[in-house]
Amino acid sequence: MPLLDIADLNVSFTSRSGVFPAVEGFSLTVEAGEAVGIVGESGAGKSVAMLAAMGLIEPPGRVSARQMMFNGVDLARTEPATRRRVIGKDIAMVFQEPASNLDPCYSIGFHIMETLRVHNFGHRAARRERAIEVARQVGFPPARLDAFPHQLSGGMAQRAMIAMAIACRPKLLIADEPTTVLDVSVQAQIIALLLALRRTQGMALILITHDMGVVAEAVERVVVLYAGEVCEQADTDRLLRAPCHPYTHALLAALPERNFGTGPLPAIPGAVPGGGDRPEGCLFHPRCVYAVERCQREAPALRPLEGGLVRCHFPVKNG
Amino acid sequence: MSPVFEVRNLSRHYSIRRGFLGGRDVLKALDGVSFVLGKGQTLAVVGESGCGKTTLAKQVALVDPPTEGHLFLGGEDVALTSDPASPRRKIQIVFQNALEALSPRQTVGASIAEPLAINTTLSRPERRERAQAMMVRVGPQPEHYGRYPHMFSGGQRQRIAIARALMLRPLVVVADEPVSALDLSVQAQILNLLMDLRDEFALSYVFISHDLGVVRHIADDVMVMYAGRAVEQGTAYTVLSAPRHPYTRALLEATPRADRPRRRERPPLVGEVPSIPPPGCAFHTRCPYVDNVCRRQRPEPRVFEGREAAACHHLEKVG
Ligand SMILES: Nc1ncnc2c1ncn2[C@@H]1O[C@H](COP(=O)(O)OP(=O)(O)O)[C@@H](O)[C@H]1O
Ligand SMILES: Nc1ncnc2c1ncn2[C@@H]1O[C@H](COP(=O)(O)OP(=O)(O)O)[C@@H](O)[C@H]1O
Ligand SMILES: [Mg+2]
Ligand SMILES: [Mg+2]
Repeated sequence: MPLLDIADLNVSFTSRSGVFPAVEGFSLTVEAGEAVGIVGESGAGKSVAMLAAMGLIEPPGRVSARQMMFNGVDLARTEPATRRRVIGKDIAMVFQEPASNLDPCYSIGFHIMETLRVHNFGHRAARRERAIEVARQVGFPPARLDAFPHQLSGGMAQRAMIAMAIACRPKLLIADEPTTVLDVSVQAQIIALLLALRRTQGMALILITHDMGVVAEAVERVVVLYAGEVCEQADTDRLLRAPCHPYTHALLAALPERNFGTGPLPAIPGAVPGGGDRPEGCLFHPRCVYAVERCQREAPALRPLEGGLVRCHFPVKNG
Repeated sequence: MSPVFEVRNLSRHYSIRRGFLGGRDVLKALDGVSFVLGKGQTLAVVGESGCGKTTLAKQVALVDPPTEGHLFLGGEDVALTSDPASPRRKIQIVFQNALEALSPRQTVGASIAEPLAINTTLSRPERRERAQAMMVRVGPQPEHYGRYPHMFSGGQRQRIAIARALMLRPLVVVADEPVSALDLSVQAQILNLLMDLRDEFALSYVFISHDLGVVRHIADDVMVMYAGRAVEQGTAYTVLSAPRHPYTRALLEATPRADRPRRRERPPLVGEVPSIPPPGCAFHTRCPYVDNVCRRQRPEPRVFEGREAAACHHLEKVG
């Protein structure tokens, strides 16, 4: 039985132009100890999908799912009290912007101890000891636990967020673009830390990112989101070597590192559709070089291909 | 090839408060940087945040006067000129976040035409006509002349900022992380646009970036900065294919690669850039080659193996 099994998750928001699906028919399983990446451009629905799994979408946002099984409990059906026991303890999340998710009035040490207190972790002294222990583990100097969020660099704030998230030894850590605003040097430090946590604690990881390099270095399996839908899922190596969906293919082809010389980059024309301009048929067809008449008319289903899943009538043949 | 622009020994020092008990320190955000830029050439400036890239951009674009140094534009020193308005027309700047740079209450057309209003005696209809002609070339569509910046996507806003920067036909464009905040598919569009405009308008670029993949693609020359100084400088090919400075090496090593992933729990660079550099070599606290000489004596830049300059005591060893 997988650790996490999300089936058919839908999240929609209401805007002036009507109901807008931010995530549609999203399914994902994660095995214990596994690392999965969710990639896609901004607005694809990466954060919303994971916030929904954590029960953090506020009304008027609407969430529905066939199931969201975590460790034998269906988070989509369970009562709030059970859910609160699991979320933050067994599943923890590192949010996209550390600065806005730390309370400026409290020290980092307080933040970590508060997480432990909420989840009934031992007595005060034990909590203190654990706070120091996790700080060490993430490379946050314990002497600086008295510091307030604004006194920290971006890299240190991110370490503090990770320390809070792993304080209760979660079985699954969801990290939402944990390195996007950081320098490559600090990014490498954070990725190394996440890899070490997986190895030492057997923790599973869902890593949200838009950086294909980060994906390559940190996860074994990748889900690609486009405009709220999964368009491809595959093992990392296969996805990077032989992408089947034209969108994944085009994204990878546009990477500067894959273009030698000084000619133009093969850019994808147009932009990701927003709320009001979702096309009929395949969501990617207006930007797809392979699109034919059928793609304008008929939305493709997600189906198995080459050991993964792809949502395309005419997948790219590699090699 | 005759240089269009030459920067010699440019420095910018800030006086900062030294903690609670007062007293002031001198922070050398930029400390004796030199480079030469030929017509149609691109110099990339790379380094971690806090190493002085934006400070360099502001000095070079005459936004902020340097503490000392020379900026030769067409043979004339414009660094400390009493009337910066006229050389400033020839050196334009594009920032990472166009939304901050564009006035929210001004239509994008008016923003693009504004440099003409300030610097020329053209009539309003003439200014409008020229702005629209530039929009045809750079974007967004001239029909969107009367729209406001918040109505555009990040990529479109960056086009607006670029269009505005080109209105006075500059010789040099300083671009401070112009694609860092953009999604992959849009990033490739903007990079292609910048390369086309460079050829079309015979522009020279100072292109600031922390993405070495992007730099490799767009730059002729590279300058790697650390703590306000250039530590390695030369053609992009030489510096990025055969880096000799330990810092350049570490940056390259830290950059995640989709095609050559490394899974490592030991990151190539630990810690962060110190704001007040230590004595001796500024990089010695993070350098794997450090010895006593590095702790005592600052390495001066020297010509080394085909690169203009490299500042390290152990270049021979790093090889
Ligand atoms: N609270 C909200 N109310 C309305 N729309 C939202 C809300 N949160 C996210 N969205 C929209 O949902 C879409 C997906 O957003 P998100 O999941 O944040 O994208 P990303 O893939 O960049 O993380 C976007 O179009 C975003 O504007
Ligand atoms: N106006 C200022 N006053 C004091 N210090 C500054 C000022 N602007 C920049 N600095 C300092 O100068 C150094 C270089 O900053 P910056 O040029 O912004 O770096 P980068 O663009 O490479 O991230 C940093 O230590 C920064 O804190
Ligand atoms: Mg997000
Ligand atoms: Mg900067």
